[in-house]
Amino acid sequence: MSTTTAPAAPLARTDGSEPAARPATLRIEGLSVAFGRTPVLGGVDLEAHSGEILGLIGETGSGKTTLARAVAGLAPVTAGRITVDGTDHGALRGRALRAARRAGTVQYMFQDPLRSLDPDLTVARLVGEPLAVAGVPRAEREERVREALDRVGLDPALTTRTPARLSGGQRQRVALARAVVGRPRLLLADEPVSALDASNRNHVLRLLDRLRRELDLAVVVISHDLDSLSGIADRIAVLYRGRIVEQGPARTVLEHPLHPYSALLGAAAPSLDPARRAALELLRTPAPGAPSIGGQDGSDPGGADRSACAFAHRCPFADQACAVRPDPLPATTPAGATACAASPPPGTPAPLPVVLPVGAPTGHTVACHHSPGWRARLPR
Amino acid sequence: MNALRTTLRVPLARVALAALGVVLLLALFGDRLAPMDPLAQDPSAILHNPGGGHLLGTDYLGRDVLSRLLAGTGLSVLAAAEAVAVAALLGVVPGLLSVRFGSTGSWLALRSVDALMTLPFTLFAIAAVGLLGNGLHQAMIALGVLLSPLFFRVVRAAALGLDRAQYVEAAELMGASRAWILRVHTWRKVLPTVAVTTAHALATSLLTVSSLTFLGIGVQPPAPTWGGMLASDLGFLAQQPWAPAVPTFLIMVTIGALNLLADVLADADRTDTAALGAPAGEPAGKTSGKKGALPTTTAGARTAGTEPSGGPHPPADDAALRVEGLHVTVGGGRTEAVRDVSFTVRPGEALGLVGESGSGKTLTCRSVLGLLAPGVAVSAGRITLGAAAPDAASGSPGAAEPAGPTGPAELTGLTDRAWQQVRGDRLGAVFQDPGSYLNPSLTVGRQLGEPLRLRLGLSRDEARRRAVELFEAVGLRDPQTVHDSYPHELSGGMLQRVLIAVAVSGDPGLLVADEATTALDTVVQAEVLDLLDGLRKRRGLALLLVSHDLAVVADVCDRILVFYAGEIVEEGPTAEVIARPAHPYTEALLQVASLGRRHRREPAVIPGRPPEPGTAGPGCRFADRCAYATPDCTGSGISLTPVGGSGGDGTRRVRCVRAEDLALTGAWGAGTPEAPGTTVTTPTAPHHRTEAPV
Repeated sequence: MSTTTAPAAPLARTDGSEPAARPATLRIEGLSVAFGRTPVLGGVDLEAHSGEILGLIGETGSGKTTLARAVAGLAPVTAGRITVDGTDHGALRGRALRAARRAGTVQYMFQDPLRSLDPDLTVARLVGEPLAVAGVPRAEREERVREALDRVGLDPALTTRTPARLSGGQRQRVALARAVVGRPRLLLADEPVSALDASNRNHVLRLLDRLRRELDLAVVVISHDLDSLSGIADRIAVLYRGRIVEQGPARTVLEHPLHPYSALLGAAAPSLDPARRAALELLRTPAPGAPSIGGQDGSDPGGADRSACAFAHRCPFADQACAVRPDPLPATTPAGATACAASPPPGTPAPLPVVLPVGAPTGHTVACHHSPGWRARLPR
Repeated sequence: MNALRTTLRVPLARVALAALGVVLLLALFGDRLAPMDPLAQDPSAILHNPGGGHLLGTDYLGRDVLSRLLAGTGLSVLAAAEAVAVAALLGVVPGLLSVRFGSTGSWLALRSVDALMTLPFTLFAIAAVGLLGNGLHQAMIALGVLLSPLFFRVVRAAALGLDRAQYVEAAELMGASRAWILRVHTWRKVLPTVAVTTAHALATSLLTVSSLTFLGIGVQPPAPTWGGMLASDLGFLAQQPWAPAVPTFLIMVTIGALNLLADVLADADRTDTAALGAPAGEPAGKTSGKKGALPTTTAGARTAGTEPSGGPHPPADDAALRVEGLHVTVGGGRTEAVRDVSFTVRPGEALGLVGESGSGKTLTCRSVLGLLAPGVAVSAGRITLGAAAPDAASGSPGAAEPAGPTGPAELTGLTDRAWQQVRGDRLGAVFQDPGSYLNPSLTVGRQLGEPLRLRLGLSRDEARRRAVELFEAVGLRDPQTVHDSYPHELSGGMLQRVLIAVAVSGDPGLLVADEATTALDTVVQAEVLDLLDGLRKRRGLALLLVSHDLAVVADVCDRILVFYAGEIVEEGPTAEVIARPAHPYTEALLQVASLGRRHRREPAVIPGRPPEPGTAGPGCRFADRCAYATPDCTGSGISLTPVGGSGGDGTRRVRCVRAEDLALTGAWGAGTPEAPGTTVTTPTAPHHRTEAPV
């Protein structure tokens, strides 16, 4: 176990279950994206390894879809590098880009299969289209379409149907089959389950979980729903206004979040847990002394290039220290040991987070001046 | 093509097609059918009336009118077709390609098209003929050029929309070429548009061919055409009315049939698109939904800000909504999608409807709102809205008495007009996609204030004040600014609050929330749920909440109805149902729902699929997916019966023959005794869970 101390250093393999020896399938370094003059992503560092599911969470406008689209080459990258299996994907243009796309290494699954699947085409043609575009001969194509449909557990009798005549869960499977038919290395799934009911949602989640193991696939799942990710994700990255505010092993991020925004997301999810109520009340009440930055209601997405902590205006623990943007730093304490950390009195400049080198979980980083001290103020 | 099949189902379309078929036959074989030589003149029989071997009489040169008419069809129709073919070629191809022209290319193409469109058909054709020499083909090419903008514009518009379609983007991500996208994805979508335009263009060009021949351009006498006959015989209208009247009639019929067909084709295309665009389970109903979401207001509407907390709570037996034996059919009455649903909602109570998609919860909810899509209907049952809440707690004692009736209202079989009254005053509703229920070109304050002014006769200032108060009551910060904002300036959560303000502006007794928080972010969802809960408590509002998310329902609702395959399978107080489900399906739902469980696990699923509507057998509809099924389960109908052990007051009901002998697992794990206090907030045994998530 090694501890990274340089703030901007790329993350080590996080889970602890596997050594960090294997190179990342997807490596994003310092990625910035802007639409016109509106920055959407500011300096994102992220990695996804083969066989791993990385969950990407955040609210509408946080930039999570843009992040995935940037990897797929659908967003205007202004800075940073995106490498997939060692190749710089961000630099591809024209013919090279088309060739890379035909190779099918990176697959992006749109949020709504009803819109991303051509309503006039049958399931067989939809799933076979990437192969047909890549020029795979018909006989081999049919074989691989059958294999892909089998892999996602779709009844072969459905191959002659059009998307309108499938259920929501079946449509999502068609989209998945189409994504894996070209044997990709990286799958980016944008809200793959948000439109499905619980049972179908779990079907698709299980499928993702199985596919990444069977195909040794790196999977990035975008979601605004923590619960759907919690079952399958190995690591979770929390995006707020174009910046990653926390990332680390799924269990730690979900159960002992070190960024107040991650905690807010967790507390806001509908749950039968009575304890979350009090936490939610605390977490969604901004501190009176917080620097006033940005619009209310998260309505201003243009926070990516601001010099302050983007969350400060909503943060219950914000103070003057938050007027400076925090860097993502390795988490400073083992999960669960937060109670002893003292919280700075409001109004006084807080000390920068203390890096505790011993026993800190690797790969868990958080961009918050008051982490983990703020956790002491959570209702017990 | 689907559009064609849909078209053929419309009787008028069949009439139009038949008429066009006859015209086509005449065009092909007319000259052979002509009883006489259409050019043969008979000086002895000039301008004869019908009879004596001339069925339609003779013209001013003694030629047989019927023969000329039949022989002239071919030339008239084929000429029109030629012009349309030229127009389609010149319009469709550039139209498709223009999407990729770049800004300069597009500008040039559009301006040329604009220029072409300013030219009058007849004058241009005369000029072209003067330039190219007089002849039918010259005239038709000229006409085709002038008609091409028609095709260009519609095809370009369609292609522009398609170019932004997600499946086109998906194809680009596969590395598909432009040609591939045009061939596989775009072309087929443009075809219906092209078909509609062709029918319109044919009509236009037939008319123009006729007027051109009337002017002596294109076809030269003595060759017969419909327009030519009209031109030459019109002067003799008084002596022989048949000669000009019959070609006029044929021209009218043909053009009428073409326009009719174009209209039906366009409609069919729209219907198809609508059917594809609507997510399964919530088809259409949008247009009428707008009415429902923008209710008008009664006199005596209370201002929310001045509301004393803990408003009036009428006696429990006085239901806010009572649904009895509701049956809903889909597919024009053929298939039963909701069977025998009965429940009540008491004032101030929150009732949750849960179930998988297609379980009938949404149809039930939409029946209550009177917002069923075409082809979906309430076939039996009663839906009764309770008496309007007494106005005792009104903060404005001087307010006028409510204008509408306040007694219980039967909702089944209401007229549209009566529905509007009910939706405005007694029933409010919020839906999943708030943006689509607001007019983008009006400020939200105006959309809330106008109905208030209309119904209450408020002045502009009073309406504004009341609207701002309502916005404040639904927790919108800075309500003055919100009042003057357009929908696009507000976030999804704010829009949903605006719609909630609209829904409660009439001070309804019942608020229906149909997946109202599904599209919202978690944090915003929690806020909106809190708001709904707060409104319920402050105003004694009954809440009917439909959601596919059991955790949402459990969070807000006092009681739950679990739907499966169109039936209620379990009903009871939320805490009891969750702690000790009585129906195996409820148990399965609890297993698959997240309910805030955050530990690593394999997500549970319910094997199999629910039966398609109308295919269920007589017995339990869940039997084939149920782990506890016995042969008894599928034999005969199973009724919803009160389940023992919970007071037996009839509020806990279950549709399962084995309900008494099964010990099912609840949200807190197996064998958990009933949660004391019967509220969700005091779980007895959270041993099942890992540490608190925060």
